Amino acid sequence: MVFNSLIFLVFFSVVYLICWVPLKNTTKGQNIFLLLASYFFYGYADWRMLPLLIVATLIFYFLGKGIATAKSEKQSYWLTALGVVLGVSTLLYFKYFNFFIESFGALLETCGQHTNLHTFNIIMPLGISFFTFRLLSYVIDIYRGKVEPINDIVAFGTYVAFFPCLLSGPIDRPTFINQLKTVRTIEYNNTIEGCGQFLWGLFKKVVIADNLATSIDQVWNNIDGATGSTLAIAAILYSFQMYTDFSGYSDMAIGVSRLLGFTIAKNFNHPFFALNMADYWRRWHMSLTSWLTDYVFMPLNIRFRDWGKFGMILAIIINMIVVGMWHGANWTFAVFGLYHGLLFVPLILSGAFFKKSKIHTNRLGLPVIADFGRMVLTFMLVTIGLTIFRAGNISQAWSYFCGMSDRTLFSIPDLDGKVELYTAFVSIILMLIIEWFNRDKSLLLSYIKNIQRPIVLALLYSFTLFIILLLRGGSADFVYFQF
Amino acid sequence: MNKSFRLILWTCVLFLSLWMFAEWFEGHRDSYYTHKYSQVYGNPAITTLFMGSSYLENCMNPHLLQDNDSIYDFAISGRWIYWDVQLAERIFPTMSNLKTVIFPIGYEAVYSSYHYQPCNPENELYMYKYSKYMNIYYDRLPQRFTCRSALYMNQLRHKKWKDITYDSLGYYPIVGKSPKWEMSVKRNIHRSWPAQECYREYLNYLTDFAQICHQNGIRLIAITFPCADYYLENIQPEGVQDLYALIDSVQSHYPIEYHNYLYDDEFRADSIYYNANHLNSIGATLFARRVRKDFNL
Amino acid sequence: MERNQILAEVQEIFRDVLDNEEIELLDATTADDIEEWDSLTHIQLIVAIEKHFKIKFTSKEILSWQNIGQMIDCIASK
Repeated sequence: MVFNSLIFLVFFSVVYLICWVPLKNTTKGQNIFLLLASYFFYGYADWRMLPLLIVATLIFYFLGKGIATAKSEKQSYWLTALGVVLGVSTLLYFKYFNFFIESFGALLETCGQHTNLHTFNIIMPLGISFFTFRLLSYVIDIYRGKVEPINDIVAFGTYVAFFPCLLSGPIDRPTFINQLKTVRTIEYNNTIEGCGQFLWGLFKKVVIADNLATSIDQVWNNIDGATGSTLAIAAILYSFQMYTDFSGYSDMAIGVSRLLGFTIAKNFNHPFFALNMADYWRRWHMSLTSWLTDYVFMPLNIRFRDWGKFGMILAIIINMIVVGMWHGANWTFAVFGLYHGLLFVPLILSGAFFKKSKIHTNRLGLPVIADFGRMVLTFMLVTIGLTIFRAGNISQAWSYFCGMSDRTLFSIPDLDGKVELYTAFVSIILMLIIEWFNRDKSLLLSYIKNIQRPIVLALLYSFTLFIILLLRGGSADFVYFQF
Repeated sequence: MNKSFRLILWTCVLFLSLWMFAEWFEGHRDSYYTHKYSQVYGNPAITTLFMGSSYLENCMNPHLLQDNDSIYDFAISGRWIYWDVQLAERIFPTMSNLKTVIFPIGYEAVYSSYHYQPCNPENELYMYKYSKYMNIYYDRLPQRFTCRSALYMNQLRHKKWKDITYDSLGYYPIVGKSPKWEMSVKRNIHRSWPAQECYREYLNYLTDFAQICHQNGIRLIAITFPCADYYLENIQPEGVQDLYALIDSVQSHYPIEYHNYLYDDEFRADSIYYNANHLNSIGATLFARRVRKDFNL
Repeated sequence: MERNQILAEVQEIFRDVLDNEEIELLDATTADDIEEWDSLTHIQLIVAIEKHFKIKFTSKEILSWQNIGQMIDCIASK
């Protein structure tokens, strides 16, 4: 069930009405209902994996209690370790086992044995990377004494399976549980912002990402036949596709949660305005990077703290490889991580890593030339990384770069689907302008709150929705569902 | 609270009215699909019908069929076999004099499926068009929003046909060669997942199709259309074997005749092809003549 | 060592490492209150504190502090 489908609209209308009419002001009732709705949402995608989600939730719930009531430091340490091992091995089993099976099958095939591989294939539970991370941070935070274990299994289950964030993040932290304990009321400002944020996400997903998808896929299907300039343009457009697809989904999740009275973690903070790579990672997929900073980078950094800058470089490289491999078992993801890790080296050595970068603007409110140059440079570096990320395997990425760097780079690019590309191009420009002038706002379109009359807002929203659907591209799945 | 509900309710109402207006507006257009459908439905004059996708639509010069009212090219580019089965079920019983159906079977078509390759924008467009213009639904799902597809439709009607096909109504003959000659060859398609599942699905649909023809007393002729040398060099022999096996499996249940033009000497020159597996207007003239001669039409 | 004295010395280290002379530390100060104090400078601060007081923290201790007060308690207990 994707957010931009009719079936989700029906599902959400039912959830919304039941939450706010019969279950109004009953935190407990709302939580139980949200839990059931989330399980339905998950089961709708793949009911076979529902037991895994439920069992994992139960195990971690009791582990959390066990860690907090452990008699000794040692006992709580081992219980935490058990939780981490369980979480990580579930993730490894479901995400990476296929990779080993396939590599094994390829090996057999080179030896002349024919195997029918998909008979062993394990189905990958959707969203597993997202909910295992929520479970892991719960037990680790209890061990670190940052949160108290919760005594309400319904609230805990809802935290793990909360349907707006279940399939593709943002990865909320255990502090989110506090919102499940308090009374939520329907507020007019939340409704305005929620709808606005949802529409903004929908615009990014269906008007930009979907319109770009077909043309980019065609280039990738025929790398050898495409000219250098086509490849270069497609690579740049892919960065936009990736951003609009994923941040569009996150914005819709934020909007949906807001309508239900929740505030969930922000996932993107205008990454294309980043001035260097460190700044970029503070703005891109923030809920994942901050998760890894807390549970991977920081512990490593603390362990290596006596080695000075070298220790930090080592920690960041390991951390970035984990970021890459989190996306799946493929060497391209490992190389993507290593590439990003290495890009941090000059920043650490020069000390730029430790400073927060601020964008300087001129009188017109536009970035000064130097900062603009740094943004473009960062964007280019990101694009190279995402090209590795998009490739099916290393040799494909390599042939992509080779194809890009020959003389045809200076010819006129030739991409299919002109109407879609023009639509996407104009929309990208519009998006960048809107983002630029609203970059300091917590919610992008918060100024619409100034329009208070329901009928005027309704006109605005319905017309925007209509235009979005008029310009939408062919439907494609969200890129981040596979991770 | 009241204000929130009012906002949402108003948005829904206004949006739905806009949508319904657009639907109504779109419904008033003429379409190629509807045109073809109405030409064949219940038409007693037609005795020979071409079904299938672009392989046949492009390969038949419509001007060579015009002298004879009993032949009609009902192939439409991009049609998946599911639609052929659905159409056969509906229209064959209404055509009292239909004697022969010619159906193209291509190496790549066997491995394509809406079921196993969902969310392809092209598939979605076809789903939209068949539901909108012929009232046939896939999976009985309500079709998605229409306006974008309508724009796309418009673009196809006026521009893309000029680029891609020799459309069977004869408006846009294509001459020469596609700049993307190589792209029509999918080299290892029969080995990639879910090729085997698609193959089995195709077999079931083809059997259904043969059954419908059999029940209506129609002679079913399957043909594999000519392809360029480049194509033959790049496809795998196992894939072609699969194709023959497919015909054999259907033949064991229902009668089906098979003609293979894939290696035919008459169609070896590259100049008669638009891309590696589609003829251009010269090829379409040659092939139409040849088919009429071979099957006495 | 007196708790207040530790606080004063830690404050000096903070000013030094974060390059900001206006930092005033209280028991309730958290990373949110000081702009320069983030997860990265945190490590530099810890290394500097460890050197200054000639002590060694465990990883768990470092990760469980939520404000300056807890940090000072931890230093005092060493």
